[in-house]
Amino acid sequence: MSATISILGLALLAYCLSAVLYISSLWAKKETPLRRAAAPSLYVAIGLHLLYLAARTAQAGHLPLSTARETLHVVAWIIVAMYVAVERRWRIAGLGAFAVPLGLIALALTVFTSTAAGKAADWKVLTSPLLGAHILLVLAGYAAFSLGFCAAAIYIFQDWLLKSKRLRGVSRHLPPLQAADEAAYRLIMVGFPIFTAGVVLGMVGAHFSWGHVFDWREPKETLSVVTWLLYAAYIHARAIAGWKGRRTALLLSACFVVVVLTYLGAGLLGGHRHIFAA
Amino acid sequence: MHIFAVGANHKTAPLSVREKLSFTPSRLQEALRELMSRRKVQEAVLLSTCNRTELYAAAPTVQHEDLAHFLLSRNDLDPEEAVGHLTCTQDKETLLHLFRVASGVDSMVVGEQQILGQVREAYEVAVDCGAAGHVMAALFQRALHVGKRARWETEISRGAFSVGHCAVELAESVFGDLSGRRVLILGAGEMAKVTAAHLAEKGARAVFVANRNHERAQQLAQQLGGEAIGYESLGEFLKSVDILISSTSAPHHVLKREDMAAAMRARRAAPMLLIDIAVPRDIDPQVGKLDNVYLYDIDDLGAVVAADAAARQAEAQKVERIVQEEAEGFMRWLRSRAAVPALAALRESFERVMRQELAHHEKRLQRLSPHDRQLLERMIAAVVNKLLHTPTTRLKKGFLDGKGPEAERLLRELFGLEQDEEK
Repeated sequence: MSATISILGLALLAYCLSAVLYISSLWAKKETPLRRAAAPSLYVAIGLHLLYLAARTAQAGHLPLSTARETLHVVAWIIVAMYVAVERRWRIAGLGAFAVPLGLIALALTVFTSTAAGKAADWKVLTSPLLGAHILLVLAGYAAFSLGFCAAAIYIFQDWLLKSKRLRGVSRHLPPLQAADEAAYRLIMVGFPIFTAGVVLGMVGAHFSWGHVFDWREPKETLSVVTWLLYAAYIHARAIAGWKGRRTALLLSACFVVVVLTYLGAGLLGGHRHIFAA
Repeated sequence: MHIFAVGANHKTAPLSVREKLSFTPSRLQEALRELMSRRKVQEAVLLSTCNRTELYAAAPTVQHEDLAHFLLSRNDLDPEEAVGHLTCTQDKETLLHLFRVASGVDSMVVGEQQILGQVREAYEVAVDCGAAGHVMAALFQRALHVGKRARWETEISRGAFSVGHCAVELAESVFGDLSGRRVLILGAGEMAKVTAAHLAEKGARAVFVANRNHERAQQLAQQLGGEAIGYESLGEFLKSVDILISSTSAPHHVLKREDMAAAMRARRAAPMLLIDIAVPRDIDPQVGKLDNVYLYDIDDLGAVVAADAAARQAEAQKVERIVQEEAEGFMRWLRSRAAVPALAALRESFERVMRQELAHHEKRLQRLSPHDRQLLERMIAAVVNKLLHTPTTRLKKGFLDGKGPEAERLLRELFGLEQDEEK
């Protein structure tokens, strides 16, 4: 137990270091060896964090998805891991300075959650592959939406810098507006099908467990539908109606607020199927 | 010999005055030739860029007023109004100013590179017109040297941006890759042309030019490989271009908020970059408040540039040290040149004696072989040179120490050199 805790501690340390380096490089004038350490320290953090999650899986005998704390760990890990993958493919300057701190915030939230397993979270159901896939896909969708929000935040930040004519320093290290807009769209186009698949698997599971696919009294399910509709609206506005600019970035930010509500807030609103210990 | 200058630049005169003072290349040559034909100054160089028009001259007496009249007579400026924007410098001040200009510290965009080429060009044109002699040659070669030193020895030019560079950087912050971007130019000013050329260099392809004078629009469009469009179709083009550069001389706003708002609706809010380098401004500042419209006027660009300049403040101080050092060196050279007429007269008198003696002994010298005769002539010349060497260095030093006029008087008296002999 203490070994896994110290692994987590090291992972957190590496995450913090990496976040500080990514953020400070926004203000950097020159490339320094220290700043080049941002990515490697993130790799170390991701590796250690994965080790921690694996240890937890081995201890519990199933994927660590039964408590809010555990899912936060998984979401944080997917956010940063997805960031690394995206960074390698699309090279979105400055995204790390938003994505890594966001992952850290997700980890920080675990402090406010208890480790006790939720009372309604049925053990047998949790170990079923269907439910595991449902949770993992939804969490991966959340992670992609979070990165999409990061890109939208970059857009809004860059827009503000350009409007207020602050063009030295940070602005140079952030991607052009157009690139931020495209990155956000791509990330949502990655997240949307994953999230949709996760929701559909949840419905399938509900059908087998309770005989119906959807329950309006369940806040998480209702909010998930709202989330899905909002992202569908974003994709429609962006791709078909040809929306561009600040408005789409603001819409994405609103979408993200709903994601956070769906993910973390819904539990507070009652319901019984998605209750984890909060 | 004095060096002096009269001119206006972006620090002393508004764009409206600078515009009228500036010279096109052909008018510049014509002006220089006319100035030289008046024979009031001995040498002159005219530097005319979009930020400055400065006339440098060398003459035995300082003639600021005459130069100012000359500059103002070449254009339709109201002399009463314009004269307040002209600055006059002489001797060391002029050197310091020219050296600062060449180093780029006097530019609107501190450290920019273009000015060095413009200084060189101004000098070359003056040489072509027969307006630049020894003094201007020494002065401008020194200025170019200072400009190079400033850029080599300090970091004044590191990351320096001209307005064109600024525009490119802004455009890249909005659009990223500029290839295929559509640029619209309003008005056919020089700055707009340079800015558009910078954007075109980065791949911006479709360039449209609208100007009230359609002919000039066509000229500019041709130079940029673009297309001239009618002023009335502006509204249509606003819907489809990405970058607008405006530099008309209109006294009122050419682009109003309503027009732009309508265009933005048609564009479905696709971002648009507007660069207004006109003074007075062409684009209503309210336009910049619209979403997805990024409006920059000349002061905003100046502020962008100023932020850069602030970062290079320390470098500017280093440049100032170089400028002071070089000006000091040049002043010494110039002061020592005061000895030149007396020394030339002295040499002339020595050489006259040499020629007379050779002529006097011509018959006997004919007996010498050509080789021996050459040797003899060389010997006499060497003796003359050696005799001249000490008085030359002493007199030059005398002018540096302020004892020059006295030493010169003595020299002329002792050797019987008449004052008017060298004139």
